[in-house]
Amino acid sequence: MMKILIIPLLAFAVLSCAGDLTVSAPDFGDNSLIAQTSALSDSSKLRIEGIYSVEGGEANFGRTVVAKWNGKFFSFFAGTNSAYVALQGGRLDSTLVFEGYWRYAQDLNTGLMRLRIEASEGGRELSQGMIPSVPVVIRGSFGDGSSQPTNPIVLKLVRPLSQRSTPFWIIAHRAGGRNSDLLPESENSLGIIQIAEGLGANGVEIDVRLTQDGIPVIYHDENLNPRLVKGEFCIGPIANYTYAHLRTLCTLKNGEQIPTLAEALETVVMKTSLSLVWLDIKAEDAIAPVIQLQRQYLQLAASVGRSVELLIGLPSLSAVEKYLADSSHGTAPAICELDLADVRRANAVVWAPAWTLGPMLQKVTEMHNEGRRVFFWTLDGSEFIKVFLNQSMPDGMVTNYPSIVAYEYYVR
Amino acid sequence: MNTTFASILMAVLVVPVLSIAQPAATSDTTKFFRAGIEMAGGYAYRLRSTNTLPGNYVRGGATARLRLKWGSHSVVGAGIETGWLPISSLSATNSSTTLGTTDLEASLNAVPVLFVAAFQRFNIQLHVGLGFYNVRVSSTVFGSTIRSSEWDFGYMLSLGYAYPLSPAVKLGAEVKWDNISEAQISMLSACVRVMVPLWEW
Repeated sequence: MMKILIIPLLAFAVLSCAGDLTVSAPDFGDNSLIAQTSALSDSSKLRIEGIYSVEGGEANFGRTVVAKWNGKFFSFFAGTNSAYVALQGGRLDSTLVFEGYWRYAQDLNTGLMRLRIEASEGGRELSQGMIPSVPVVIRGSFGDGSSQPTNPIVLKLVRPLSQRSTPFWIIAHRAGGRNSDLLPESENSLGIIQIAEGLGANGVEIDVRLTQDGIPVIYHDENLNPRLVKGEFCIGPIANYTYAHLRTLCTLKNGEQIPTLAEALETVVMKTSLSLVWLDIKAEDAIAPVIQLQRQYLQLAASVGRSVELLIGLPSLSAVEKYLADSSHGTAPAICELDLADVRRANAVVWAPAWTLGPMLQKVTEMHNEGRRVFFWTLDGSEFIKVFLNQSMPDGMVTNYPSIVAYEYYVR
Repeated sequence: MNTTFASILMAVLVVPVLSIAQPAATSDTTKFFRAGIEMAGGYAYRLRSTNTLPGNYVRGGATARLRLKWGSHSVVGAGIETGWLPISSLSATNSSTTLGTTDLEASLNAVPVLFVAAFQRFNIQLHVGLGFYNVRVSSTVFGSTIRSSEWDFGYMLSLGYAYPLSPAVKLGAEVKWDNISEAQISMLSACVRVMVPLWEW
């Protein structure tokens, strides 16, 4: 009798004690050198980008990595362990210094990394914005967790990145990544928008819902739930809550406020170099206020000299109807997930089919011939990413792992 | 829901059922099966609170449960269970928020709808319940009140003792653990309970 009672009690107790797990990005804190550095010129940044061979860290990062500047981040994308490195850098006299962290995108491994380009290995010319007279070599070390980096790594430039006439959009799902991947910022938060470029993205997909009092906010699920929010009194559909209730009672998983769409767009325009935002409309009543915000923030971007596309996502026929019913739709660029006829009817600038429909090269070509772009969603596995890159020539991809898409795209 | 309301609810539930059930009850040992009703009332306490808001925060409160059960006289039984499970409440005056200062009232409770399996030996009963909880919240900030709810999967485990007051009625106590797993809400309750047979065959 005792066993009958104790076993289920223990099992239930263990199940009920499952805690929340997060992985924070390690940093150098007071030991950081970045504050002492000066900013690099755009030409210097461009000359550091490229395909590098790896010596010393092959087990962690493979034999080849892609190095790319995205906004303020100098990132490496590896073909091994889905690893990426997000660094910030600058010049210190004739030496270039980079600091940040590495992470495996699909598990919890992370650590600090500090790299340098010495004056004699290209640093002197690069710090002056000139073409290096010697092959660029990046040397440094990486560590585990927040311990100081001690494992040596050497990266040698093999070739620069191919210059393509049209950009390729790597669009980070949920504004940068999902909570399930234990990123240091919550999904659909202002913080994750600001680190999305470090992960390899040049665009973000954000989910738009409407509060009870008509404020567009960014949040994925229909309901407030422990997967996405903290707050004991946050239960049920987010549409039941006013903006004031959300702000007072609920935070995102890592403690951030649930952002309004206006705050998210302001962050994209003013605090990042992201060039595209897919506004994934989860509540169709949001279309009209979103079109107004789209216009307002496109004007803001233009006023500060930023080139950024804000696209209204149309995921359903009823969303297309609402969009077409809005008198401003003609000047509100859209991205349509439906079939080609609906894309044409909405005159969407982007067709966005699910990857599960296959590469569909013929339809992709049709869209290209009409001057429309094609973004597939949501591709995460490197095998599938390669297939779609090679077989359907899309203009972009939505992904939970921008670093994997970046590696596969740039290493080709 | 406050203690007074829970007491009234218990009285409303228990008294009529007792008065109706007693004449029909028998102690006929030739009958193998019976259906009965169990009513319980007590106090529920929220385990693992996640509240971070300042104010007068109360974990749990007075709870009431109603269980309709059928099965053999001896070991096993089955049933359905519902009731009222207060989870937590919060009140604060002049609470500082990013939008300004506000008075704040919030309460969270649940109505379980569970399928229950029962095991009995020597007047000790183990109940295991599986089903859904209608979790409901009401909150007032900046003078505006909202209500919201959702159905969440959860389960219940309880261990109770019942002392036969008469051939028909048993009185006992029960310790119960509810885990509304989908909403990560865990409650521990201690209840007094009354068991009344309705039919035997």
